Amino acid sequence: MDNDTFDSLPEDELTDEERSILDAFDAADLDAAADTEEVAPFLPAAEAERVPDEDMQAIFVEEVAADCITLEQILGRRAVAERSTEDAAQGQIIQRIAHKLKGTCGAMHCTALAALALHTETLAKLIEQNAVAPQIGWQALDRSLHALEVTLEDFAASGQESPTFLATFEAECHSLGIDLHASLPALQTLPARELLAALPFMRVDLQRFDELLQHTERLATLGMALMEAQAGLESAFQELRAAEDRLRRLEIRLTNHLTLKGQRQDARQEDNEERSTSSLVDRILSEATRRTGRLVPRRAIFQARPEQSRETIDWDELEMDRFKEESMLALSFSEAIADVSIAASQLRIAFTQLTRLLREQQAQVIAVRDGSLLLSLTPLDMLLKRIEREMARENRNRLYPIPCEVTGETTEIDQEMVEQFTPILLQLIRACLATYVPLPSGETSVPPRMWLHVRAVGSAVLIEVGFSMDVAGGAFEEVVAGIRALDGAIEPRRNAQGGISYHLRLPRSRGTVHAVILRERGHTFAVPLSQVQHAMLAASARGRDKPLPLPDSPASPAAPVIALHELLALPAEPTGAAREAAAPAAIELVLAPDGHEESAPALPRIMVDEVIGDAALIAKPLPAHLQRPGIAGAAIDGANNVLLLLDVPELLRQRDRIHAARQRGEQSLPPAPAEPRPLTALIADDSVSIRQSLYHSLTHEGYKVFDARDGIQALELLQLHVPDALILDVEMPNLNGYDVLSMMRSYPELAGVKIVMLTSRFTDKHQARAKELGAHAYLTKPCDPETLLATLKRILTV
Amino acid sequence: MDADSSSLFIADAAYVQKLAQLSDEEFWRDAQTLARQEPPLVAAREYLECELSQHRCLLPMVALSEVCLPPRQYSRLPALPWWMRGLATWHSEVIGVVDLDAYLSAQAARSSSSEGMLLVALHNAIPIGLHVCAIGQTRAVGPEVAAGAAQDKDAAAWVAPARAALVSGTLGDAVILDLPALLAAVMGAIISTSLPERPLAPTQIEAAPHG
Repeated sequence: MDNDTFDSLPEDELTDEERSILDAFDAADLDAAADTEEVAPFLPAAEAERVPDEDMQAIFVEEVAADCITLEQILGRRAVAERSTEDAAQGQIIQRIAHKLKGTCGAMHCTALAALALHTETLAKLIEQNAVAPQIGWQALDRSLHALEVTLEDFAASGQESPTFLATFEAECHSLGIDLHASLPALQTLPARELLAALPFMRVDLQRFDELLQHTERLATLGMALMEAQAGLESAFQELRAAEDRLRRLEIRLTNHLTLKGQRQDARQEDNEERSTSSLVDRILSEATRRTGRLVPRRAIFQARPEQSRETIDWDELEMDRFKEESMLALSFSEAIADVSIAASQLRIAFTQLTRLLREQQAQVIAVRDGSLLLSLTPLDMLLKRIEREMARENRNRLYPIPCEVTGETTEIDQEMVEQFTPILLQLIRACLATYVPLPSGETSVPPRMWLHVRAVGSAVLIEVGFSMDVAGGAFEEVVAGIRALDGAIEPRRNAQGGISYHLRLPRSRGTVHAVILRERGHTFAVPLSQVQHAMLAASARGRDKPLPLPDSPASPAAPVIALHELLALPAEPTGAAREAAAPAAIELVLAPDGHEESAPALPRIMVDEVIGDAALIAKPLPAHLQRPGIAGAAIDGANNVLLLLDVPELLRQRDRIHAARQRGEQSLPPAPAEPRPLTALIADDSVSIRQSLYHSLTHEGYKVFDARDGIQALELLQLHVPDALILDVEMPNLNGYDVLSMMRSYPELAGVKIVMLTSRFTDKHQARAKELGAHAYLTKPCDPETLLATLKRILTV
Repeated sequence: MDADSSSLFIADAAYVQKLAQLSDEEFWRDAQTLARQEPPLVAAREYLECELSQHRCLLPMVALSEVCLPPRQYSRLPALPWWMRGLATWHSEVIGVVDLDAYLSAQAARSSSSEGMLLVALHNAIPIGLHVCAIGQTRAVGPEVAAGAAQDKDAAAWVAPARAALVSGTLGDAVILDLPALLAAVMGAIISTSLPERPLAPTQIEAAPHG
């Protein structure tokens, strides 16, 4: 049965081989001396002959000695440390070093040394969990280090281990009341935020406070003005309604009048041009007609009367009345229209006034909010001074002090952020420097130094924590969760000095993300304002002949334009042409420089369908299985929809990676392979002896082999020569194995690399973590070369 | 008032009287005890009938956390499997939503987002949404039927061969789904796609259908 892959691992029982691995570690607990004449691990008998035992032993002794020096430095430093948090951080570092030591010694079958390393790791865990009193625990750690050193000296001198020092140490622990074999309580990992105490006080800039006060007072005044404007609007509205009522009444009267007039004219025509002598008669007859519904004829007497002149009739008294009535009606109508017109104007004025005041109030609200945020900002000098103090304290215990250079002290950041971020930054620095062993002067061309460069870009703060030399691996893993919890990002890179730089990006204020809300192909997204310099109408909408008005912008007219839907691989909307026709003019977003791409020629502009507005969002990271490169998190809008928060620079980087991978794939297509290409493998392990033995085993089997001594070198080599297989250790300097796995996910061209974890970590937790990060197989040290080769063969043929 | 309701009333009255006589401490202790009691479990044989575009399936009620209305539009996340509708919110949590019809039949979705119902189930405490066209009544299914003792192959013919293992049985023209297995397969596929361009396991290799 296959027992080296996740798929075939039984959940409830161990295979013989796994049990033998565990037994190899458990053997460290046994007093019985191991058979030291066994062949070194990873070396088949034939290969073992090629590597002299003396050389392997010398390399091994050198590695263990280096780890002992590091432990000595930490324990010496702890003597002057005062704070419990430092104890905790140092305890974790000791655990890591001891764990690595245990694996190295176990691989070399040095059982006494492995047992001492195991005891050291256990002690550090017991201290961390308060299972032993710190003073007693640290004292025992001193003794364990002493036992390690003398056992190693003995081994270096005679080539064999003496179990005496191990037995003495165990007796010492027993006398101190420490049970090294007691089972440890389960570790409880609290979320970083729960560990951070709330801020009881904060520093306030008085000038900013005064400004905020003024804005608040103005806001209060505006509240009164708004109420008055609202009352004015109401009054104008009532006036308009009254004028409209008057007009409506007059309209009725006018309608009636016109109806009567029309009826009279009709009656006259039907009376064969009979003319009335009196308007009164006409009125009476007309009224009768209206009432009865039939025309009332005039009597003949009137018909016999001779016709009078029109002028005589027009000047009839009653006609005069009618004329006056019509004039009055017309006059009233004109007045009513004028009233409506005036009332409408007043309403418009009142509305304009209210709108103006509302805008002013909105501006004041923003000013108050910004003022409040500004109030919580503080220069980073406090944090940087604290780091400088920390470095000075570290340097007191160092043979070769590491100078720390700081820039950007005046950069301001939210105080709460500073409080939450400071322990993480200190943890990063401590973890990086924990296992740093400086080379003796003369062996290094560049003196070791570290730097902290801080600058603000938009609403983000960019921090570079740089080291000119190799540092401990695993620092990335230790802090990445904490930084992500603060909605930040971290990216390790090789710097110009040959060391490693951690580039951190953090929001300047905590809680909300101020973002631009935009729409693309019917979907709504948010982009942090810090990433956008400004928005403009797209060239396609402006007309391409017009120049782009961006003379001083980092996004020059030559900058490429990329549609957001391309970056997000959004499908076209089903409604097609109809939707296209109704679509608003496209908008181009000009990106703000992110500080990481200083040498980049031009930042591309991002084209979107529509910019809806901006909003302060509370964004959370997506669940692990839904996380994707370039998606910083998600917020929930008022309609209970998911609003994805985009990290546009990361989306662009991802696009470039995919593009580069495709190009590389096309270029590397062999026209007609004459003979099979040799399989390539990359070994990433910090142990020279293990690298050497693996190298011989693999090359003997026909592999073309590269090797990397740390995680960052492994990543660099992976990008340079994509291998068929990667054999990856966990404990390595600069970046550890998990860091490498985690970062490999961002490089699509590495998706086809088969990964075998080869580590001394054997627990299910570590296997599950490796599987989660994409490893294909998991082997534990010590591992015979046949198993490794068989595993490689199997996973490479799938 | 009949005898039953009368006795109930008396019993209630006695209970109320008993409650009134309790001290504050006793009251809160009883209340906590009641609150801690497990809610009555849905009978394991109860299945919810779900309508897909042209077929029907049955899902075990006991495995469903909630049935709710879908959002007007699912949010689109890059690099999701084609048979996923997108993201939705459930109890202030962002969840991935699978188009059950598309997933089972390996055919593109036919209904719009706003139509249908959203079923939520947990896989290792991670909620996953299943979008269906409609839900029907609950149906009692015997254990032997659920286990596929009398499986009608024609009734399950529409299920894509790659998903056939997720059908545990049939009842009439409806297929009975092995929901835990389905959720595990879905989650595995989602995780696979989160690793950029990483090849999928052989059972997961499939192309998105056109149209």
